[in-house]
Order: sequence, then structure tokens, then C-alpha cells
Amino acid sequence: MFYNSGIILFTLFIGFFLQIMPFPEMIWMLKPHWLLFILLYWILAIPGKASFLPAFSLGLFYDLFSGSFLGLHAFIFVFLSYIVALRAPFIRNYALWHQLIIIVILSLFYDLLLYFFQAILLNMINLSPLIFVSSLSDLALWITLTFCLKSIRLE
Amino acid sequence: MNRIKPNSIELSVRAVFLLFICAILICIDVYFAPFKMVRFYLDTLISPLHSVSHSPQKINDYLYTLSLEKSDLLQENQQLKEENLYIKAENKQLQNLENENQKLRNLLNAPISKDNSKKVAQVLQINTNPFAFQIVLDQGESEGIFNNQPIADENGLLGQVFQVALNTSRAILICDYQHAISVRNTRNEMTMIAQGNGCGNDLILDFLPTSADIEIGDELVSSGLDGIFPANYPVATVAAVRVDQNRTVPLIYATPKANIKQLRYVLLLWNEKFKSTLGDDVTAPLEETIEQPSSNNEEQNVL
Repeated sequence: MFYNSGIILFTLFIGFFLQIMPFPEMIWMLKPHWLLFILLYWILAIPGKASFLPAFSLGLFYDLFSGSFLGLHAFIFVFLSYIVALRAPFIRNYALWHQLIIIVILSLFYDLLLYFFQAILLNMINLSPLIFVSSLSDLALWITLTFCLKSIRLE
Repeated sequence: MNRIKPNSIELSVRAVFLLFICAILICIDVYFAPFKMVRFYLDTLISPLHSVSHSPQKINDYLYTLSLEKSDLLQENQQLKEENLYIKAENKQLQNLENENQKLRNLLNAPISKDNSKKVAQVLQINTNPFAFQIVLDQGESEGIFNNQPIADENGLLGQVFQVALNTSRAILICDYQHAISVRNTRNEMTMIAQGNGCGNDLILDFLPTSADIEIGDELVSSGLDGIFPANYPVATVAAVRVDQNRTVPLIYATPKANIKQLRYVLLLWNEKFKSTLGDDVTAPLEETIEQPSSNNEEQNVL
């Protein structure tokens, strides 16, 4: 199977762009993890050829942009990509509702990892349950992604 | 399954290698201070991204200016002119008072508070991450911004700069969990520490005995004891005092004066004296405040 790497890079670029765009402050908790799920989508879509370098480099860029510790988001992106890549042959064949369960778990895992790192690096114990609300918007994101990117893929 | 197995081993090796690099990077960033220099260049490298993420705001502003009517603008201009007149007159009065105050302080041999110069900076990005309350400003080292520089708005102190790049800088707000500021109660001159508690919540005044004399509505100003913030700048108003039966300390909350919810422009405060000596060193400002009286004596001798 042949996939145009230009299109993949383009969608990743758009994902990064959306990720760094300001989100209305009133509903910050609803901001979906654009970049992460576009990354995960391509890792699922391209069997056996998954590369972690885009996840790593985009994570580093996002770290620099958001002012978090260098390597924090890169670590989380690579880690989640790895988990998905390991199970990719199975997840790809699941029904959409089944995939959505996995997406929610991954989204929660992302938030928990971020919180875990902040907690050990900054000695903070404040956990706002609102951060987990974003998994809901991730659901919507994943549904649109599967439909939009599938049409791109098939072309 | 046979086909997947060798593949997954290769995957694991690559992933673990990258994860290892990430872990090393995090450790270096957290524990290795000289890495700040590298970070300076990296931040400078990605600073165009901040202007990209600021572009929707810019477009919005531009559309807004397009939609304005001429008559409205003229009216606003008139209003601002009048306001400016009042403020100028008040400023003259304040200057006279300041001169008088300095003369009196000279007589008392008390340290003279140096005038702070100010500069307006635009807020490029407000971090909506629930763990960190930071903003990115559109000015950096090339405009003379330095580490630990205080920022404020027209109502009160906002926070301080903690990461400087060439053209942008990152500031932490007083309501961040990681931030604390030394404040003074204007009613009874008591000093205390106001700690950030997330920007949705009020600041916490910690480490006070239950007998502390604090009332709701007390005005808190910066004490200047931390050597970073200028003294006597408004910070917060006490909003709630609760005595918890189970704890030995009272829970005191103070609402920040600065308008943290809507940040567009902020004031960068300068103190030339600090700028020349401070740099990155945290201990420097303390020595500076101790040496203050002697330097004033010298000034008097010169006078």
C-alpha cells in the first residue's frame, strides 16, 4: 500500500496549528487533543510502518511553545503512540464504538500522565477533575477524523 | 502472529530509545541550570509560533477597527482627551508630593524609593493549561526584559517574567500554584505571604497564627521585601477569613486586584538599579536591599 507522506505531514502540521491556536477561556476544559489524535490516527492507518519521530519532534515543539518542561509532551506522545502501534492490527479492525472506548481511555491517560509529571516535577497535588472533560471532545474529534481522513486516504 | 512479532520488538526498541531521550531531556531541563541558555535559543527559534497563534486575535482586532464609525471615534477621542487632562493634572500634584516625600526621607536618612519606569507589552498567549497560569509577552531580551521582572496592569501586580527569549518572554501570574508574593496589610503594616491557588480561585494567605489581625476588605500591597516586586503596589483585597476547627491555621483568601481574566496589555515595570545587578541570581536582590542605606549615604555626600 502506498501512502503519500506529504499528506500525512500536512495533516500533522494542521493538527499542530490547531493545537497552538487559542481556545476560548470559558471552555478551556473542552479543548480536544488535536495533535495527539491526528498522530494516533496515522499510526493506526499505516500498519507496520509507524514512526515515532513525528510524535517526538512535534512533542518537543509543543513543549517549547507551551513552556512546559522540554520533553514532557514528547514523552507522552511517543508513549501513547507506542501503545497504539503495538495494538494497531487489532484496534484497526474494531467497530467505531469500540474504538471510541479506547480513545476515551487514551485521552484520560494523556491527562493523567500530564498531571503525574506536573505532580512529581512541581510537587503539586491539585487535581481538577475538569481536565478529564476533554475526553468528550476527543470523541467528537475522533469521529470526524475517521470520516475526513478516511476519504483522504482512499483517494 | 508470526508476522507481527519481530515488528513489535523493533517498535519497542525505537519507542524505548525515544522515551529514554525524552526522560533525559526532562531531567536536564529540570535539574541542570545552564540548560537555560540552550532554552533561550530554542525559545527564540519558536517565537514565530506565538505570533501565529496570536493571529486570530489580531484579525479580530482589525475587523473591529474596520467596523468603527467615525463619529464614535471622535467622541471617544474627546473623552480620552478630557481624561488625559485630569490625569496630567493629578500627576503634577503627585510629583510634587513625591518630591516632598523624598526630601523628608532624605532628612530622616531613610532609603529613597527609586522611580520605576514602565513599558506596555502585548499578551501573545494565555496558557489555558489547568496546572500552569502563564502568559507570553511580545517583548524579550532585545527590548531589555530580564528574568524576575515584575509585570502589572492598571489595577495591581500581575506576576513576574521567568523565561526570556530574544523577542518574547514568558511570565508567571501571581495566581499560579508555583507563585508566592510578599504582601503588607495597609491597615496594620503586617507582612505576610500571598500564595497562588489557581486563577479561578483567590490567593491564599498562609503561615499566619489564628490570632492574626485580618479583616475582610483589608487592602494588601506588595511589601518589596522579596527584592523582586516594587514596594506599595496594590496586590489583592482580603475576601474571606475562615477559621478551621481542625487546623491550627486560619484560612484566609484574597482576591487579586489585577484583572487576570482579561489580559490584553500589561505593564512591564523597570527598576534600573535592579536591572544592572540582578540578572539570574536570586540572592542578588536581598544583598541589594541591605546595601541600600549605604548607597543612599553616598548619594547624599555627592549632593
